[in-house]
Amino acid sequence: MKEITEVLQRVAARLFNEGLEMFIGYESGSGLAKARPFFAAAQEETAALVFNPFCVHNLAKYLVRFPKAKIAVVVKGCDSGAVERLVRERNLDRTKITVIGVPCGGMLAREKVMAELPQDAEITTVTDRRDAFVLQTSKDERVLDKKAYLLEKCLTCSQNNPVGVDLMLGKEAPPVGEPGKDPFARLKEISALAPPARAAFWDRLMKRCLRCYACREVCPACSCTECCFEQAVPGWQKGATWLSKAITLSDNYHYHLIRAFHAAGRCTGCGECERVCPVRIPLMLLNKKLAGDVEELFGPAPPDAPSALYTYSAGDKDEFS
Amino acid sequence: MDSKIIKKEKLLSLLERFIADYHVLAPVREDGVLFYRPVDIPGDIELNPGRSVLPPKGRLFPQTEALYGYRVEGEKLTLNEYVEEERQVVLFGVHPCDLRSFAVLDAVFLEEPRDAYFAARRNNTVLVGVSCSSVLPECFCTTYGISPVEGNGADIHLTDVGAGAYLVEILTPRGKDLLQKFESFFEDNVAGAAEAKRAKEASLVKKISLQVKVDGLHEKMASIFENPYWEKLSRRCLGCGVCTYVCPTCHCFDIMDDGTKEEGERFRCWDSCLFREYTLHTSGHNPRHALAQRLRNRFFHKLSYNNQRYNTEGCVGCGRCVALCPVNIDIREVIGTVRGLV
Repeated sequence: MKEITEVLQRVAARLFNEGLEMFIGYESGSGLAKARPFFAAAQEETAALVFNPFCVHNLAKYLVRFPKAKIAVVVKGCDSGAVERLVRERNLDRTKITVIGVPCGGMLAREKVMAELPQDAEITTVTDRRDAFVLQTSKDERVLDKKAYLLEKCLTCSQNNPVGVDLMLGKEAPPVGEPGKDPFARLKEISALAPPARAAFWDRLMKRCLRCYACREVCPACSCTECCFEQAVPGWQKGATWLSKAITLSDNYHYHLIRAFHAAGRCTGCGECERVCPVRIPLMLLNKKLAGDVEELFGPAPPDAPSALYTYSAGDKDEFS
Repeated sequence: MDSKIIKKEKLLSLLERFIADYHVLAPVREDGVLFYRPVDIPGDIELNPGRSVLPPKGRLFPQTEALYGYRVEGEKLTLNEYVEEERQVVLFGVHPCDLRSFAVLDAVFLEEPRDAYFAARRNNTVLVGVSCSSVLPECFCTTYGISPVEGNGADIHLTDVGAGAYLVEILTPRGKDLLQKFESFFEDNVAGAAEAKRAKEASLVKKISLQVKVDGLHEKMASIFENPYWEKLSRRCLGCGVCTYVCPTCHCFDIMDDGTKEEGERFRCWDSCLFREYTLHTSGHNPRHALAQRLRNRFFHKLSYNNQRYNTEGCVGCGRCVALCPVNIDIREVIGTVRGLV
């Protein structure tokens, strides 16, 4: 991944020559097999930029924080849809943004990699060999088969090449998803459960939610400047909110279901909500369920049309009339 | 200090007795994630747990805690306070960093005016500590002078000394009572157990990868309050509550009412300085309106305010925030950077 990192740094440096004010990419993180979002505000900072299979974060939402700046952002295939969505919903001024696409060979699940590596090793180089990543460490070389070490979402990925970008770094990447692996397999299993068993499945997970709101804060579809769950309810006593701050099963459900509905037909499937959840609630099951429902009710979304929740047609299904 | 030995199978039968006689909270694994939960079956308990997602502080300071209920009938107002009744809860399997965190929370909640809710829960809780058996890459307890095998703060403390045996250290009068009540489960301490514990300590401490120092830091923090570093650090911060919720020493709470004019409850729940509504005034003004200010507040609280107010460190080096921050904001790095700035 050395080449792509070098190209990235060169491109970023050049953009600063052309008047760029902020470059959002990745730098190495504080632990082994870790990267993190990085904000270069000047040309000399671009040397810290990296790209490797630990760049899991979707950086699109950070763009909203810089409404006036000339800005560039690095996107993978699963991130590019979020930029497009934010632009289409008029949260971003596309003319100010340079979208830099990186064809993606999949992202490694850190937990699995860490279990493999000796604790005091350092990763010196990472090479993408199509079916495997080769990690050269200070101690030895590890060949990590993608089928076994990629993030779950990557194994069913069909969008690893970014779309709608201004600059594409590198050649188109071959598909990373395992052919024939159904992204909806788990959802189908859960949907097939009898209602009491399905309720028990979700109760157990929802009980666990801490309401830390990491899933909301990271989600590019959660683009409201004030979330409905922070709003005071008009006309009620001061301080009353739509959602109790108490952690109860029903309040947790309330939060997750409303959030999922607000993202229905708008979720671009980056899976960040699930990645950041400290108690591992499989939130993409909810998002996938609603994506399926929206498609069933309103048909497949044409690529340039606003999402189902943003439009109204007299022909929409109306189950209440 | 008295010490004993307990064999692993005896420990399991002791836990069974605990379950029969007390309410037991202990580390259990759920979908691979470690939580402290009420336990009915000793076999569910992780004896050498490692790091739980949430610290055990929720036993003393629950995420949501009803404080009192009210009821209005005509002219009559009835208040019903929910201070925990006397009962015995065994909190099993607490590691040294989390044991220290209880002292940090004590300083906050037990100083005058004493928090009756916390005090009752504290008084009802018997603490059984367990030495660490492994060191995770984010652990840095030694920064705060904590040893991964010392049970300061526990009533009794266990260390797996190999060959299916645990060294049991009895550290408080309450621990002594517990030992006397269940004497038959324990054996006399044997030669070599203390040495095994020391050896374990040495090997664990060696594995703590990143060494940072905090000595003298808190007095100098004020000089970097306005440093641009905080804005820079906050660029990648999501503003979620993960770091504060998984922190064993974070103790901010919000008080809310739930009910009608006739009856209802007042409760408190964890708050997080990273949230937009944190310290939001009724007027709409927020003295910490920017994320950078809120993030700075967290680090000042951990590295300075706690020292100033309570003369204790505000962090115990458990590494949870480091491990779980979705964007890798690492307090060890912050400490390193801040040391260079002051």
